[in-house]
Amino acid sequence: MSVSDANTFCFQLSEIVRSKDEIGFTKIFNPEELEENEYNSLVDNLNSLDDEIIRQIIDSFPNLELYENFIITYFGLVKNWDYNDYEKLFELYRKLYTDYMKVFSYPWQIFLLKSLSRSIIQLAYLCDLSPQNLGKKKSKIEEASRLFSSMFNSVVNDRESLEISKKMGAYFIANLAFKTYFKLNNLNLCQSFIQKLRQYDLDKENFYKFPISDQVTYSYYIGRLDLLNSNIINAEKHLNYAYTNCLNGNDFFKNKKLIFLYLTVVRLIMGKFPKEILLRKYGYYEYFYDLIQAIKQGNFKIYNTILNERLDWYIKTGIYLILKKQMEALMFRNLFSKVFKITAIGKNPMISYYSLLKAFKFVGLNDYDLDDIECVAVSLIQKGYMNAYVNNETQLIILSRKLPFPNPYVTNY
Amino acid sequence: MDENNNNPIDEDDDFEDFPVEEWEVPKDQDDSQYWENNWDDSDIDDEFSKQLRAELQKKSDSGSKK
Repeated sequence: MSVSDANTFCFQLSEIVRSKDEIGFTKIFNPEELEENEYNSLVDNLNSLDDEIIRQIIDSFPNLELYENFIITYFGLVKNWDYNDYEKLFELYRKLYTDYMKVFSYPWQIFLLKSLSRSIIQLAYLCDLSPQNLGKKKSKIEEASRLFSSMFNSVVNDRESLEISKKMGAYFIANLAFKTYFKLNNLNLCQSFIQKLRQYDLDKENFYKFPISDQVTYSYYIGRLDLLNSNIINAEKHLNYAYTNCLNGNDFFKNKKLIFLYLTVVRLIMGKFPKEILLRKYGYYEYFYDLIQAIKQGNFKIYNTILNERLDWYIKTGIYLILKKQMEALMFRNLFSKVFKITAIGKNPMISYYSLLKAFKFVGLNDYDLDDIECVAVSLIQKGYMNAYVNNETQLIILSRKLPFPNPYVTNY
Repeated sequence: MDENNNNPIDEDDDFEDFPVEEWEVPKDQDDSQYWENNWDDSDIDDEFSKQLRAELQKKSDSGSKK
């Protein structure tokens, strides 16, 4: 494809639009597709023509009328292209993206939508995450998030039936928006996307009509949101869906590793543990193996030591608070269970508050007294972790003979 | 910018663009055999349990209410 001036450009484009050529449509609006001599020739030509003439050239092709502003903006991008100035490029693409919102109408145009969206986020990252901008406000990523939000609103608002509609780009845009929100550590606006997807009937059965890559990515982000909101059951559902539907190959590994990380955290809370082989496969052995042993034992001292030793990593991955707070119940259950196994003798299964107190101190829980122990016991009973009743007078916990400590995973989930 | 549409400075914690849009998920991808949820914590021969047992068997001052 040789595009050396405005006229040949429009001629090519007119043909592409007529034949709904999604790949051609994407390439023609990408300056990087031009050979150097083509590029120079085009720029020279554009610089020699004033806007009025350019508009006339565009309008001489009847099927390009709708694209007039978009084309002019694109020509501006071509003329001002500067490999070295990311901020400038971002501005040029921002304008192009905004103009595309008014043009984008058909599924065959989704390919270009994705290409432009990727350019936006790549440039935003290049601007904000460059070494000289480290620590500064991520203003371009914020700008990108606003652009995705606007694009999303224009995408979902389409009356055509799903498969022939621009709505098929909805999850792709939503996922990019989520990516920016997670990067900015500001997740409040995720909710409005979730609501709109529901409102425009793009969830439930229709979710599965979208590309599997969109489904997996979306499930990952939603699962993480669920986890942060302590919706453990939904978190497991979504992260497991992402995990089982993400392929195992090298090209998928980075994503699968991330999915596995958060799925592991959810399942730890539920009482289901990845075996060593999985931890090694994904490179998380050092962060979870010893932690899991501590959880199984109810060993708060070791557990907290490990968390503190690798604090930076647990914080960076956003799991520190969850691990600190949400594991308590399960660990109390395991400690009680250990004490029971060690001390219970004879026909009447019971544990004394006093034994528990000693055990608590042994694992570094020094601020608990006998009343606190009773409270913990009652809480475990209420949660279904322990089948027992407490006797305050005798300071004993009387346990069910048959199943004093049901399997936590099976019971609660 | 990268032809493969991989973000040039995606960080470790960034979920990437997948290399393809659609794929078939093979039936044998289920790895549930590598997750344990039937763990029987009746193992009391490990080091921790032994130490805990020793601690529980110690004669000591009486427990006190605060």
